[in-house]
Order: sequence, then structure tokens, then C-alpha cells
Amino acid sequence: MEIVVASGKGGTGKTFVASNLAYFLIGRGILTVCVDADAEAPDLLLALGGVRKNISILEVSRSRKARINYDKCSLCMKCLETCNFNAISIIGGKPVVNDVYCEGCGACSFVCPANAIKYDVKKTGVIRVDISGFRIPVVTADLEVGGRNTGELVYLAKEKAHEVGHHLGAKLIVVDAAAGIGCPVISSLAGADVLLVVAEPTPQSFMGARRLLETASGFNLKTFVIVNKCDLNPGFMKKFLEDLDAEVLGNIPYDYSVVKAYTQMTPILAYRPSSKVSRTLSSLFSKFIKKVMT
Amino acid sequence: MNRVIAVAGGKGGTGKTFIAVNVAYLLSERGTVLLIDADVENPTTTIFMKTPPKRVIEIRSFKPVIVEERCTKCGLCIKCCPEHALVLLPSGNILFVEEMCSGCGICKLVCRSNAVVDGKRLDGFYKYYEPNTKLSLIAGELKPGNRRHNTLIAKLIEDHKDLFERYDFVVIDSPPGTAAGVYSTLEYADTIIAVVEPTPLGANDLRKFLTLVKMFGDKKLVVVLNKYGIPGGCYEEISNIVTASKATLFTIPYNKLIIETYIHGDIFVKRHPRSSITSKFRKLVSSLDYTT
Repeated sequence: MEIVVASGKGGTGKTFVASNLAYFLIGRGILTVCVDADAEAPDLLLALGGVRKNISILEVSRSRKARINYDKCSLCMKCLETCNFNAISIIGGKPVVNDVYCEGCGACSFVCPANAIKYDVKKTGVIRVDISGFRIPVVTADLEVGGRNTGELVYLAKEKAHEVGHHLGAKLIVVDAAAGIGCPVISSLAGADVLLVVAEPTPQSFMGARRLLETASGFNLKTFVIVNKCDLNPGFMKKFLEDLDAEVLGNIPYDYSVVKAYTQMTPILAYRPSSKVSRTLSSLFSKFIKKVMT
Repeated sequence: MNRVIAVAGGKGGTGKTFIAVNVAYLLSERGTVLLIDADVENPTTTIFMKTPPKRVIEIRSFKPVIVEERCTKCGLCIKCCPEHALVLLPSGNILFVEEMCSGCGICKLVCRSNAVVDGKRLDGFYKYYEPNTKLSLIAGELKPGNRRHNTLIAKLIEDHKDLFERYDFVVIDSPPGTAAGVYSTLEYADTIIAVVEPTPLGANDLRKFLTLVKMFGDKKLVVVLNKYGIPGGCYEEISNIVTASKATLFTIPYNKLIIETYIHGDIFVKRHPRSSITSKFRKLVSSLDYTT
């Protein structure tokens, strides 16, 4: 079973919930593989104690980028007119490709009368498998900066996690999604079974959660909401819960020790097991597991 | 010359929008400001405007429409589509999967019988706000379910970059992350503000973000360490990164009043003009305004 932790807005506590959920599950003897699908800013390994042992690093090179052979180029600029992504501009009288904007679609090459455009395959990013400090297997998608094939990298990371899970006999995959609702988040949602939305009681997070639920509506996922930092804005809570069309699993209070736990690269459940936050998380996760595994 | 400032930083939730909105507001006391919300996946600057948009326009891009009568079922469009958005059904008809399409148009280019014609797909919206005579906001908003946020961000910047010179200052609120969309928001900026929080995760993401900044040679870099003072924060690590990247460092403390103001969708420096935090913002803004 694949559980996706997402939020729509950044910084609401996705990695906090995902890391503690994984730690909780392992503690209950439920083998779990984690996926860090926030390929632009991957941090899940850090939240789970850092790297204990690296298992594999796979370099993914699937990004096609146009390359112009200036010995053949007749400077007709047909490529520039054809590109729908603004990836070609005139610099020094010549058409020049900006790799960041190039989708590698092949349109410029097709229209080039001089047959001057070929494609290079460049690095998309890296998929690594590690055993974290807390002995939890983590598959990390790490995009090259300025990259654009994030969704593909996330698919590959999830595929890898299922492979690792199959090998270990793990029942669950926990995916820590990126902020937002774009391509990498859609790839995180596709093929998953359960969506865990981490929200905070602010209008900004509410907007993100609502947009996320709209994005997820096509995927037929069992959906639950966790309200993190719930005491930040008690007045907002009632409206928040009424307006979000999803089952609210519970609330997590705000606590400084969460930041301290992060600094120690330790899930709060391990760092301060008897704190109020940890007790709340444990009962919330127990409830969650009962709901999704039966 | 006007000044273009991009507020970015890598990790989500560090306070990019908070910094961008407050900086834009203080700059509007010095001149005219265009604020661009490029976090098209969740454009929350709109919450601070407290007014509805003056104008909303739909942003559409190419999608193929196949004219059945002309289609010879040669399959060339299917073979050439890099996103596998065109699928040959057993019935011999061609199925178009809109979610996969990048809008590149190669299907139309390769079709020998002119059976692929222009359709329009809704990618999102531009929303225009004018909360006062000195401050304008243009917010890009991705249509939920659309995968092409990087393309929409690039288009948002490209479509409005000619407006930049009409304002004294342009402030761009960038999305989290380090991908192509973030690159677009930095491209025309002369100053980049990287907003970071004092956690190991914040430091880790700042490092990755700085490798993106290195793709440009000529930008001024300011690091704003937000939520400063959180107990147990990793201040030394961040300070070392800032020193190594020759950036200027500003701090904004962790403060309940900030959260309270933020939650109500109020602009902090406007609501609390005499607060010591507002003085800190003023110092930051003075360093950005080189006209004085």
C-alpha cells in the first residue's frame, strides 16, 4: 500500500509527519519503505537520522536537450519560431538553446531545413537508496538544479521503492511529496492508495489544501487531513474543518521540541517519546493504521 | 534603472511570501512596486490584498485536436509525441490524453494530412490586483490537475517582463524548490533574497538552492534567516553557508505577533509600523534600494 503525505502549501509539516509515521510503523513491526518525492529540496533522510548506509546511487539521464550544429545552421531561425517553450533565443546573431527551458520535444529539429539540430541526453537527477540512521530504508529523488522532469524522477523513485519493498517484504510505502500541486505532486498521487494531507490552520494552508484536494480528486484515494500546529489559530479551526471536504484524523499541537528534534535529526517520537506531541502523534497514527489497513 | 528582486530559497514554508509581501509594501513607500506571485501552485500573496482582482485572464496553450475525416491513421504523431500523450486505440482511432501533453506541437508539425489542428488547453490564470496606487500585484495560478507549472511560471515572467521598466521596483515571490520554474523567476532579477529557516532541513535546501543561483554569475545575494531565535536552531551552520557564498545576512526573529498577523492575512509592516521587526524590515529594504 502506498501512502502519500502532501499539503499544497510548503512548510506545514509534511516531512515531520512522514518521518514520524515511518518511525511509528517500524516500531510496530510494520516494514515500511520511505520515498522522498520532494526532488527539488529533499530532506527526509535528514529527518530520519541521516545516512547510516548507502545501498545504491542511480544516475538518471533522460532529459533530452536540443544541440545546434553551427557548421550546418543557416540562421533561418525557424527553430526559434517553432519552439513553444521560449527555449531558443538569438545571442550574437545565432539561435542559442537554453537547456533549462528545452523540453527536448523535437519540434525545432523537425523544422530545421539544414538538419543542424540533434539532441543530447543530459542528467535528470539521482535516485538513491539509503538505510537511514533509524534503520528505515529511504529512496530519495534528487533533481538536478534547474531541471524540469521532476514527475518522471518521482515515478522512478516510487518504482524503486516498490522494488526495495518487495525485496524486504515491506507492506507499506510512505511518500513524502513536494510542496504545491504541480507535476511532482501529481506523480506522487498517481498509483497511490491513501492521501494524508498535512495542513495548518491558516488561510494560506487552507488554500493549498483545497487546491491539493481538487488535484487529487481524479485519483480515487482514501483521504485524511491532519491539522498541524492546531493551536496557532484556534478561531480558524472550526471553519477550516467544516470547509475541507475530507475526514479529519486529528490535530497536532505546536511545540518547540519539534524543532529541537529536527536539529538532532531525530523523529520526535524517538527524541521526546513522552511529550504531548509524541503522545498525540502516536494515537493519531494508531487510528490511521486501523482505518487504512482494515 | 529599476530594481528586480526575487524572493526564493529552496525549502517550502520558510517565509518567502511573508518576506516578499512586507518588502514590497515598504518599497511602495519609496516608489511604485510591481509584485509578481510566481508560486503558481499556491499563490498566497493574493490573501494579503484584501481586495478582489481587478482583472482575471485565462492562460491557454496549444493542444492537438485531431480532425478524424483527414486523419489517415499513419501513426506518425503517436510515434513523435515525446510525452506519449497520443495513444492508438485497438479501434484504430487516436486517443488524446490531455494530462500528458506538454503542448510542444510536434504532432501538428509532423502530420502530412493537416489532420492535427490547434486546440486550446486551460493552464491557469493571471490575476491582476491594484490594492493602492503604488502597489500592483500579478498572481499566476495553475489550474489544479495541470502538470505544466514550470512552463506557466516561465510564461508569467516572459509575458510581463516588458512591464518591469514602468515600475521603480519589481518583487517576485518565487515558488519553493530548485527546478526550472524557480530559475525563470531568478533570470531577470538583479537581487535574490534567499529566505531560510534555522533547521538542518533549511540549511540543506539552502545549499542546493545556492547551486541554482551559481548558474547566474551576476546577481546580488541576500540571505534572510527567518524564525531566528527558535531554540535549538542551527545558526552556525547557516552563518557558515552565508559567509562562504559572500551573501549579506539579515535576520527576522521568531515571533508570535508575526504569526498572528500572517494568519489574519495582514501585512506586518503596515499593521505594526512601530514594531522592532518593522525596523528590521526597513533596514533590509534600505539595502535593496540603491536609489537613495
